[in-house]
Amino acid sequence: MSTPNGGLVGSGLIVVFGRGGSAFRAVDQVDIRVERGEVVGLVGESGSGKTTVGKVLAVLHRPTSGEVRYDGRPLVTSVRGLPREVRSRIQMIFQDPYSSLNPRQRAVQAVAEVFRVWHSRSRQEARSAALDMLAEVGITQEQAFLRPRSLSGGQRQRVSVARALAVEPHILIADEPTSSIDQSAQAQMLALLTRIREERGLGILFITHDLRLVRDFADRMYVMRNGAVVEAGATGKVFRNPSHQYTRDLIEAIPGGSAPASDGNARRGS
Amino acid sequence: MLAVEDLSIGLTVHKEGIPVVDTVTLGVEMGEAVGLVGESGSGKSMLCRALVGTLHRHSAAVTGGSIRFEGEELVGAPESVWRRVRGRKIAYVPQSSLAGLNPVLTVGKQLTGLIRSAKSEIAKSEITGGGSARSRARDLLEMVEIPRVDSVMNERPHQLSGGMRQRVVIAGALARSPSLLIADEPTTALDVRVQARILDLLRRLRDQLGMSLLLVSHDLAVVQEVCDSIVVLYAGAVMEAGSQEAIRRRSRHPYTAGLVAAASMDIAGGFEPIPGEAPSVGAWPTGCRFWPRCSLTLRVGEGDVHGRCSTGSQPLPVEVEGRLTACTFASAMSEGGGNRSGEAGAPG
Repeated sequence: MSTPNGGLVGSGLIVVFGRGGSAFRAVDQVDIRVERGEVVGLVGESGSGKTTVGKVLAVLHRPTSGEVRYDGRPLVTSVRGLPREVRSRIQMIFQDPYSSLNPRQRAVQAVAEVFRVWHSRSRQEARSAALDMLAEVGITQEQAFLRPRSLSGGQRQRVSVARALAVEPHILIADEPTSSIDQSAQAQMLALLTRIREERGLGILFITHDLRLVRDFADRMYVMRNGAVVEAGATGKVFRNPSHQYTRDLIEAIPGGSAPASDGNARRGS
Repeated sequence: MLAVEDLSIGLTVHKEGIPVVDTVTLGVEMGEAVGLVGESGSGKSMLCRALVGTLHRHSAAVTGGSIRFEGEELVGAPESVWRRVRGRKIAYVPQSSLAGLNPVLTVGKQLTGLIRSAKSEIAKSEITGGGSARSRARDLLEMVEIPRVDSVMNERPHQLSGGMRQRVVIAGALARSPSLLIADEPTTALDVRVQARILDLLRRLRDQLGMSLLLVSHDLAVVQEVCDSIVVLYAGAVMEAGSQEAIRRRSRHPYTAGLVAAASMDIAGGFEPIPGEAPSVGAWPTGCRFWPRCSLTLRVGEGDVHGRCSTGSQPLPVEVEGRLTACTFASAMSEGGGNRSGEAGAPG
């Protein structure tokens, strides 16, 4: 798993928006790596460039320079030129599942579509595969036939996870997947991602502004500020001994302190 | 100072008669900071609107109970009373800072407008008295720690960052020297560092002005940063209420315990998140509203939902170990709890 070039690797990523005098460097020389089976946190405040890095790694946005490789094969040359098999390795889910799901499609249709298009299943097969996939993320048969507006925020986000998993990715990029949902639904989402990571050996890049979410969830983490990575390392180590003042500021700003809210909770040694 | 007693609120137009807040009791003392915690649909925003008399704008009305503020009954009070209280004694900072500001007016114009209207109604108090409205506006902006006050006075809301806008809204709320400030999710859309600074500000303002604070949030950790006591709302009812310390150390309601665990996000520690979803308004279960998601009821019922949980009406909070809890089996939580954090004991 830890081969030097294994997994998803972005190197020397630069993204410039606009041109001339108004050009803005959203991503500045970022090196980042996510391997299968690990959870990597990408933390930053709004405007730090974290979402843009996610989109570049998901081959949804072409960097101005730098390259993205998966298992050593370059991904960012031409998306269209990539074989499906390579493109399907990386999937991304977004902050607001309401805007990434078709409002007219029932949950089961949204997922079945993936099985028909990506895996050329028949209508019948696709439907039952979709129901299985939805059950795996905790969507009941009854909920599967609802449209997005009839689902709660947490349920909608689970539907988008099911849709992403249906493609059978190796790496899932999750951009603030819990920021628009309630705290108990947030906890459910992290538990779900933890489970599918274990069961499927999935690598997860978890993009968030909330350090609390990566503290016990991510194996490694990156901290971004103004387009650049200012800190990277094992999560436990970064929390115990942050090397950059900015990381220290972020940790100090965690509401309830950087210690777990409940004193008696055993912490995981890292 | 503020005493809400057995307050119930129902919808009036769409889904007429459906309750959104049910027999809620809470109090805020002079200078106290109380946190109101609840997830979406818990009724926390409706409760706030009742406190500033704007329920009718949201198709809802008080259906029972009382709200006493500085000795005066506000339920059923005429608009003339509300005009004296709303914004002047009880100020409300809404969730979206943009919604609280006029996009076409400069910050200075908005604040001086507020100050002048306060002045014309209240005879010169020590705070509004003396100095021009403009210098008072400047003082308010300094009080909420806005840098470059003079240039901000001439800027419009869209020119400010989210954190700065929130500060301006707070400054506006303070313009009339309220004795109670209600802040509804004041930091939800903000980055963590900005959030921490706004919470700091609220804490400091409370100390400095001797003002009371009702801080509303879905985030237990945010509330714990600032508040002395906490009221946990679920499906329109109070689940647990007590000192911040007591609830954090040893929750006596499975729902709060689940929130405490969720706030710690100790995924690897193996906590079980609360399963399922909060019921929507109009679909509250009979008995305790939390039983369909409760693990404690299964334990006390030895694998089945305990009959006392799923029948009757929502239990009213009673005192258990120095706080109020609506859980019938609160004392059973010490033997293993609704989840792990329920029995958070000695550290380490």
